[in-house]
Amino acid sequence: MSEVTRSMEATSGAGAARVDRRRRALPNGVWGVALFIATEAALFGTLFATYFYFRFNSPHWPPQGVENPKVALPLILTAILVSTTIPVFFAGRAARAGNARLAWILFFVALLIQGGYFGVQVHEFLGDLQKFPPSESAYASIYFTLLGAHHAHVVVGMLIEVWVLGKLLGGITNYRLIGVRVATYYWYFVNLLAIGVVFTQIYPAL
Amino acid sequence: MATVSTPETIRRLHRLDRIWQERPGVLGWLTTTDHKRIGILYLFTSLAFFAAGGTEALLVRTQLITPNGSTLSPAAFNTTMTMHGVTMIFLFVIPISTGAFGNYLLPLMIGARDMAYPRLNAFSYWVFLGSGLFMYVGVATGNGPNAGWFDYMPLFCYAFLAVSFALVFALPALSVDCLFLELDRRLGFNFFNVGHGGNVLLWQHLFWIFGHPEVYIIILPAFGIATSIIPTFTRRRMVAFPMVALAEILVAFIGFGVWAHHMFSVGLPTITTIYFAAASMIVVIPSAIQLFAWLTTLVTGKPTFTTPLLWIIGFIVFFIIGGLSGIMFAAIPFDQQLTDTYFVVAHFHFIIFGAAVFPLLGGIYYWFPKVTGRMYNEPAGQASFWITALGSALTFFPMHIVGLLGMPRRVYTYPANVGWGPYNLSETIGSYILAAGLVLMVVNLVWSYFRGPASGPNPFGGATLEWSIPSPPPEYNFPVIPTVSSAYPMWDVEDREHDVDKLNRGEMVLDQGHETPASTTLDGYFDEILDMPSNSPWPVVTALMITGVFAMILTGHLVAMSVFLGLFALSVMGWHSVEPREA
Repeated sequence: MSEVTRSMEATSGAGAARVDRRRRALPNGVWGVALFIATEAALFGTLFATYFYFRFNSPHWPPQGVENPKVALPLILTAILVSTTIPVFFAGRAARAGNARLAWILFFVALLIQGGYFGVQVHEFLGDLQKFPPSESAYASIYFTLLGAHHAHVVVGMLIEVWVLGKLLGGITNYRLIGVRVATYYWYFVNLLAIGVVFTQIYPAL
Repeated sequence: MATVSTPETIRRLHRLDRIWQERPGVLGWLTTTDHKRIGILYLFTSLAFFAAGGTEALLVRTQLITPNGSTLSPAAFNTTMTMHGVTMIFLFVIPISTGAFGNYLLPLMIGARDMAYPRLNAFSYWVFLGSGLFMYVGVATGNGPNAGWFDYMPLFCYAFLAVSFALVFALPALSVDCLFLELDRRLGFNFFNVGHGGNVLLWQHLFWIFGHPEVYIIILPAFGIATSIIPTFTRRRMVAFPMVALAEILVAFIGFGVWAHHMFSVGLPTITTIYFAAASMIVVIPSAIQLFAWLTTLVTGKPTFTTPLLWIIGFIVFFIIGGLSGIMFAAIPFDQQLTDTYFVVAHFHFIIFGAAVFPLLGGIYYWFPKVTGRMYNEPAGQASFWITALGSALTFFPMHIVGLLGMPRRVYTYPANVGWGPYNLSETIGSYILAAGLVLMVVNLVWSYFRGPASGPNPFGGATLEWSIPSPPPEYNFPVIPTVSSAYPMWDVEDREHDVDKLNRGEMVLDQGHETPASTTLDGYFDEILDMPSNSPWPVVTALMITGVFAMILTGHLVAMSVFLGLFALSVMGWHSVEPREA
């Protein structure tokens, strides 16, 4: 079997794209992110379950003295975050076609939007902390834990993007291409979670 | 394996030896990514914790030997009893089954050269070690999951597949639960504070959503070991192979739907308890499928009752008794009567010690020749089984009776006039006999490691692939990735000859680097060649940093915590700075 393929020999953009087109096995990196997302989904599932467990054990939701959450701003913010799925998706496509430059630009656009989103969210988070601190109710405890957990995932996603941007400066290799795929899958997951989180967040006002 | 003939073949094997050679000395162990070495690290670490947990058990039993005992103070008793439980579950049974047995054997059974994520695998060990030491320093903390890999599989591997998935989905509930507790304690959150709308039962729900799958996480590796040992010593294939594989997966799945049967006495609505009682009864079905498959295999085979098989038979007996007391608990009135008595203690020690640990001990005997290349002493091995089994029966069986007589669990002493004395005396004597049996086992294995006769590659005529390679296995495991057409590849003689032919022809030897083939997911067709990582300092460094982060959070040093967090980020970057050509 002399024509045996060694994917690690693909150290150019074109070579990596060729390996990617030919490959039928799922790379280990993709399996890894799939398993990681599975545990993260279970983790958020537990948080959602806790929220509604409290909800159905409480006579008032939110408790008396806490005003209903805002509706419009969280929905708009989430829509903005979810819209970054588009540049992330096309960045992945560009990388798989061997176009490091286009991939870099698209990831950078996504990162800018996500950074803006994150800034506003942190501002809102700190403001809410002043209004109804978690030391006063179970509602606030799960509210801030759920939102904080999601914000932490956004930060991790941005750190991964910064890393990918750094790597893409040196062009595309097989390894970096798989890294790009992992980053895109992670962002799909975080964006999907954002929808679940925002509807849980605004649920008392609906 | 058949003879390796040509000089060209010998040159290829030497080349593989050289490529896969691990760094020597302590540094080699610290930076290792070889699943066999990581498995051995897990084994010795978890056995050390087993010794610690066992000592704690003996202290507890010594305190309870007579009414009004005074070996331990009430506070010391509580600490010792708690540490016994935590050590045995988190630091012994889980790490030894998934970490040691799973790590060492899974790649060998499926014919792979290493785990799918060698460095992550090493990282998991170092985090486990850090958290174990940390716990013994004084504060509790959690540890991360460890996933296996699969291709064609013997039943052992199906069991470990089920365990890995259960771990992936069960552990996050515990993580979140501990996170809530930590937020409550440190930052004044109100998850469990009833005064501010929190709910104490939330802790119990989340704990048992983790905790019951956890029971199956403990028991399934034992099932896997039993289904490896029984065919070897009965000289026949497992009866109802597909049914047993399905039953193993099903047990792990059902395990997620039964958590509240640990909570029948906390005042849940009747409809809830009835659902959970019914769901718990269903677990009987897959368990019985496996039980009858083992028994039928034993009865229709030609069993030779050597040490490993004896442990498995002991396991079956204890599992039946512990299973029967388990079914009783699914009856709600019975559970409400006996919960938090010694009857529960008897039940779960029959399951966790008799049914989960016996196969682990049998498995240590069974694979000892493979790992060390030496045979253990057979008469001493059999004696160690009988002494341990006798000690276990004497320790755990009377607990049923004192439980029915009303002795509550977790009490540090009891009065003389309630008639519990003789049973407790028997339990304590039994625990020392049990310990003597285990000491005999350790002596046997240590002696055999230095003085035992050479075992050769396949001393028991085992059917799975780990027996096709020398003992101890070479670092690259398999010179060519073996051809497999059934779950008993060593009994498919033509396949093994085919492997040797391929090695002699130099076909697919992959001796150009640290390489392994990758195949498609569903069909297992060969697809490409991957380059595997070799020795790396990053797993141990990263684990050290993350342990530092959690240690500093728990002790409240937030500045030091930030420093460790930064170092952690740096070590993750270091981990990825040298680009492996594989991914």
